[in-house]
Amino acid sequence: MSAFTLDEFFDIARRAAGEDDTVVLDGRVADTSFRELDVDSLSIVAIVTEIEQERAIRLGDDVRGDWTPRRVVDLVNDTLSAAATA
Amino acid sequence: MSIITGLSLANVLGATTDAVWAKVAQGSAAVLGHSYPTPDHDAIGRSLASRTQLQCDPTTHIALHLADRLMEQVPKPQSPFDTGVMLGNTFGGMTFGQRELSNLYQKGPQAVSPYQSFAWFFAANTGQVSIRHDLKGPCGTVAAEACGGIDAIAQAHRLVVEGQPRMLTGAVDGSAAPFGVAVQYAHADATRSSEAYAPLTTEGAGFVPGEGGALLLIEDEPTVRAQSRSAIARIAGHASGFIGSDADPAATIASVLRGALADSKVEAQEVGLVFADGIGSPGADKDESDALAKVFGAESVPVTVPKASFGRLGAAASATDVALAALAIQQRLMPPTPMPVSARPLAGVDIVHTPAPLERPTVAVVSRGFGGFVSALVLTCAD
Repeated sequence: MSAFTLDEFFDIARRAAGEDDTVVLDGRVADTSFRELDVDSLSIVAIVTEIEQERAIRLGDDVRGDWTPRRVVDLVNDTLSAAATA
Repeated sequence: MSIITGLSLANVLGATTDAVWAKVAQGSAAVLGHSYPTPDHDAIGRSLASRTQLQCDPTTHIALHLADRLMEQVPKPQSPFDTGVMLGNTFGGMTFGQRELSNLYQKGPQAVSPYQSFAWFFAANTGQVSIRHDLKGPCGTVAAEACGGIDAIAQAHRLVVEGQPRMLTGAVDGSAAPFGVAVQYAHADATRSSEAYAPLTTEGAGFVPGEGGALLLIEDEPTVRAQSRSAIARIAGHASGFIGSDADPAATIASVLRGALADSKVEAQEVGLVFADGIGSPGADKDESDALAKVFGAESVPVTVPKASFGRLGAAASATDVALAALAIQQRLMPPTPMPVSARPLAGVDIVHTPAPLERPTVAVVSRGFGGFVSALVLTCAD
């Protein structure tokens, strides 16, 4: 199982949450909070659910508005490692 | 009195007011049964960000597109509380909803979009327009089938008369999803096959449902005049009623029309044009033409049903008629009713069959919603 990358995150985010005139979802905003990116709680659910579907894992309900894309990527990789060693 | 200072329309005839009015004013062919006329969604989607499109039903895309065009027509409000949003709606986000139901059944609950939580809702158009344009005045959604639009406009009018500076009103409605189309065509008064939508004629065989919308901005008249701004038309008055199961439909429609005229302080002989509801089935058309004869006298007032060229748009049917009536007054033009070549007007109905000058700039709009709703609204000149 390959590591989950920021590129993969942003690809999913663009498909699940979309972009608008003020925000472009790519590597430049890896460390910007979802709140600052105007990605609201429903959009977070949409992104997390899509990641869970694509990688066949469960990520729980901890992702919040003050999280960043990088923090989510780390969570995904931690979850993937835990599943591999289980 | 409230006056109409902005209009925005979209349906199969066009995605802008000018495009729609150009076709309506000159007369277009009737839409045919078992088709489902919709506006050009490619043209509409172009002006919306991917984030917006993902979260909303296609009819909400239309509403946002129309709201954007509408807000360009007036100065920015001084306060977000100056403007409220009152829209009619019947189908909500049925297209979005059917897709998510399919996802649920084919892939399971995890595959259902979280945006389904609000995208399906009848109030989604009101909510999304309010959010997008920061409109924090009184907001609401009126569900009265085809009367939803006209009744929302009437409610907006009452709010402006009572002191609200400005209201964004009208309706965007319909659903092109398989389930949406099936539901609309299941109605007893819908066309049975590919007959033309030919209301108030000898060939009326039912209505053709469609998707589209009309949004209007109405404002307090003294304020607009003080700003030296012009208006398209004035909303003079409204009445609504209900056809109970034992009631005589023609008598109820006549009573509602008289009520709207009284509310407007307008005499029947001052009315220069009636936009009829025009369901199109023989029984419904007879009831409506009898009602018009009771109020105006047989063949005493020109009657038109332009919706035969773009379909019956749910709550937007009546909102579109109000918008077209306003344009008819502004342009002093009576838009014609599409009529198959072999059709004749029903007895006692003076149908406008070619464009003609509007002699008296006072127009009545009649609306009937399935289930018994009846409403009428009167517009006058605001020159």
